[in-house]
Amino acid sequence: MDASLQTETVLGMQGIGKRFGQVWVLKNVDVRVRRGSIHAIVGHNGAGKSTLMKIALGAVKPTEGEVRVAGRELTYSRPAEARTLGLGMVMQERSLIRTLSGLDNLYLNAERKSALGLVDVRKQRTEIAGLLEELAIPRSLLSTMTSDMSTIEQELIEIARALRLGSQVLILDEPTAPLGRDEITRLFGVLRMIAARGAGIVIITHHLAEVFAVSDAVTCLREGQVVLQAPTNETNMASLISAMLGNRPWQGSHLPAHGGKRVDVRSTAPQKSEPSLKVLNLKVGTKLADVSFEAFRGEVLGVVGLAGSGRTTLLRTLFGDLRQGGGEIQFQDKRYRPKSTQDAMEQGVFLIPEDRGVHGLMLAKSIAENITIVILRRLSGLMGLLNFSKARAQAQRMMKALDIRATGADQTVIELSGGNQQKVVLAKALTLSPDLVLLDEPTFGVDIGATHEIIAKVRAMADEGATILWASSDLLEVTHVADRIIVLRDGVVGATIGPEQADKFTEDALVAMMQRQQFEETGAAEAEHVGG
Amino acid sequence: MSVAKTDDLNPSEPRGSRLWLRARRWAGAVAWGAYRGDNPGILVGAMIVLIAIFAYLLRDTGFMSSINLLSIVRVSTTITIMSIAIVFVLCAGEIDLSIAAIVPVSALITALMLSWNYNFLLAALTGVVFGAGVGFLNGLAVVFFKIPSFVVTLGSMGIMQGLAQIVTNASTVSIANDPFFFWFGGGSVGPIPILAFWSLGGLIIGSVILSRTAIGRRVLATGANAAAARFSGIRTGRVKVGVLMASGAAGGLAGVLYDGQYAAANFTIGANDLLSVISAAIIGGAALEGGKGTVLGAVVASLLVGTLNNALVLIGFGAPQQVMVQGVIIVAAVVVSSRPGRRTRWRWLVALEEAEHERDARKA
Repeated sequence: MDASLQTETVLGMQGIGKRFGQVWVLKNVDVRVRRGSIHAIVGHNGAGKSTLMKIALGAVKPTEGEVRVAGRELTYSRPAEARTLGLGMVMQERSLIRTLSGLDNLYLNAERKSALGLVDVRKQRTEIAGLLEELAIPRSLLSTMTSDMSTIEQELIEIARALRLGSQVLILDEPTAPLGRDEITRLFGVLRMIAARGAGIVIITHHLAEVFAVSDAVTCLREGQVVLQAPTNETNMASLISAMLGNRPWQGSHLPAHGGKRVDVRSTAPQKSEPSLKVLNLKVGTKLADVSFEAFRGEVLGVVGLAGSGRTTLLRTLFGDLRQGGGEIQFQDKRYRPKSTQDAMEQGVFLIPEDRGVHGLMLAKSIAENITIVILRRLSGLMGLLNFSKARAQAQRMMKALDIRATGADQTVIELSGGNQQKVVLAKALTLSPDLVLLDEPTFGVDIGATHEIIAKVRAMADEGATILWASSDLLEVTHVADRIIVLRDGVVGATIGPEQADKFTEDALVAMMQRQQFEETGAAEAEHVGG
Repeated sequence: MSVAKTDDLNPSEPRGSRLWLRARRWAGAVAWGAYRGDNPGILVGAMIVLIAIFAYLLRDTGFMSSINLLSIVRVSTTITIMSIAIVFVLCAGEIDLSIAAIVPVSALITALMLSWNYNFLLAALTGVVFGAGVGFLNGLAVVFFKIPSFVVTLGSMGIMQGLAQIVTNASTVSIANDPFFFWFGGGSVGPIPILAFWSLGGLIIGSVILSRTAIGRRVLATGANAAAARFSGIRTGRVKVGVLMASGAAGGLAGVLYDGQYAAANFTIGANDLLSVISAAIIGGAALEGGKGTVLGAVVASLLVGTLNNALVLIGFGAPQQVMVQGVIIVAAVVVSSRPGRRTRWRWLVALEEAEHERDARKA
């Protein structure tokens, strides 16, 4: 590496390889972030992005390769090493303490002390003032309680904290996820300013539109290897998408193919051609602005969208857990406006929630107790006494039908694997046999074998006449399980893909449709910035 | 280990050996539950050991006489009844600190009604309904304002304590009503005091509701994971109001039972009961974080506390020492029940269970 390059590169990662056990999660990764530039890192879940950033941060020691921050090599001798070399990071999860003020958070565990050993607030204020001015952060935030700040204000405080510690390199992990459109524009303005000061910025993101809006260079990782690395203005969305996805094979080819079935649901069966669920102009909070779609008996309707696009909000509203702000829902030719989850269940709707540990299961209770909780009224007999043998029989029938592997119906659910836990949640739905089944990330953290079993069961429920909404971030899976797909984007249904558009049932097409559309104009301004 | 031999599973096997297998599995499950703190097996054992120790230490004082043992049950009745209700509250993931403060108000109301010559059943019922009403208001505050029951009931505890002194200007109301005394106090059937039947009734009704009915399941589900319960169609708000009403009513009933024992009511009745009641529920296996608890455990624990107090008196200690001992054992009980337990079942028990499941499957 020659000297002139070295002064330019503020974060250099060369030949990075990382092995966990027998598996190489990173192989021969080179990333060079130049002073004054913004470098975007994209890749699928599990592509190795976060491991790479942990290595840059000094938290994980690479098996091979070296990391240089501002020309000095990391030795991985202590955790704070990268920080002292001038590297700051803003994590995906907010790390501010909500009950402290902005200033207290900025100086948390690094308080400036006065001669008496008390916290010297004045000194802290004068010290941070310059930085705040540069970032255009209003000084009033210093005395504002974090819980009273907007998300962008919290984000700015986090960035200020990261910069206070290390001003050479700033790493941001999914910084835009909780932000609205205007806030993202503001954040990008701040990032450009920081870069202009001479820092190097690394931004990890799922939103490809943002890559083109803000970054100067982009690195795409897939399965631990760099598959695309280029200045941003020399690449485009399509090549980035195909680099990111590669050619992932679907491992469930033995499942019934849906090509023929998709057509079947709507056209060749006339009695099914009337939609069972009609959603018109649905508005919920700030997430869903104007959502309209239809779903049919016997079909699996895929619901896709980027994180934060309102998939979960939509399903929870249909289940009566969130109040609809406007619009109209019709279910089985009747106006449907559930007042509560109980109300929804009585009308034949059931939700398999996103986080099974939080909303789906009583982890400390047995399989039988978890399954039969939805049919307590049916199990109550004489004088309200529960019919235990009936309950046990139902639990055992479900364990057999879904092949739940456990020592018995009395085993507590927390002891089961993720796949088997999810099957217990599915067993609740099967036990209830609702007309409308809402599934939110039904295969998250579930192994491939259990995934296939869950898909087969859900398809079987559809074949028996249920209407299914399947929301998932695993797009490949959605293309295989769904008859039609709706794409949520910016609070509306951005696209509906029907069986006649077989070419759209691909990951690439869905990813492209999911992207936010609003950065197209700023992209032009960006080219100027790169030039300058 | 192959406890379950294959010939155990032969469908033509004699009925005796099948029952033997089932009995072993049941005993194993109870032992496992006791080991994990799911049932009061350990508590029963502790009680037996404790009584044996006292029986030896206090062999000259008549501790083991049936009169003394029955009096332990009798004196413990109010604590027993209240701790049964508190088990429901804890199982639903809530707490009721006002329960013992309801006691003197309800006792005074009942005593006043008796002094005005109302029917003794109506007087007793009024005391209980008053308690239920306070619990109802507690529940409404918890559900509608979404504030922790700890705070709500701490507040109503203060209100009740003040109210108890205001009702009669802190003066004592005496009672003279023989049928009332028989049914709610000193009566007995043969040698067995009426109050023991109240405890027994509370034990049976409470444990059947908690472990055998849909209501009990809803209570446990609400405490185990309120979000999951809501997503399973359980009206968790109703459950919370319900358990707090039950505990209020139990406080009211306890007040009535104190009236029957003391033949008089004043504002100090039940003043020291809160610690005993919550101790009994927790020693009996109810978890403060909700979702777990048994009525039998609470009843055994309340008798255990009663036995300890009785023995301490016989040894020559007074109320201060009783309260201190209770304080020690409540902490000890929580330490014991929250130790990091093993999750995997004993292998021999798993083998027995598998044998039985296989037989069930073959039958079906």
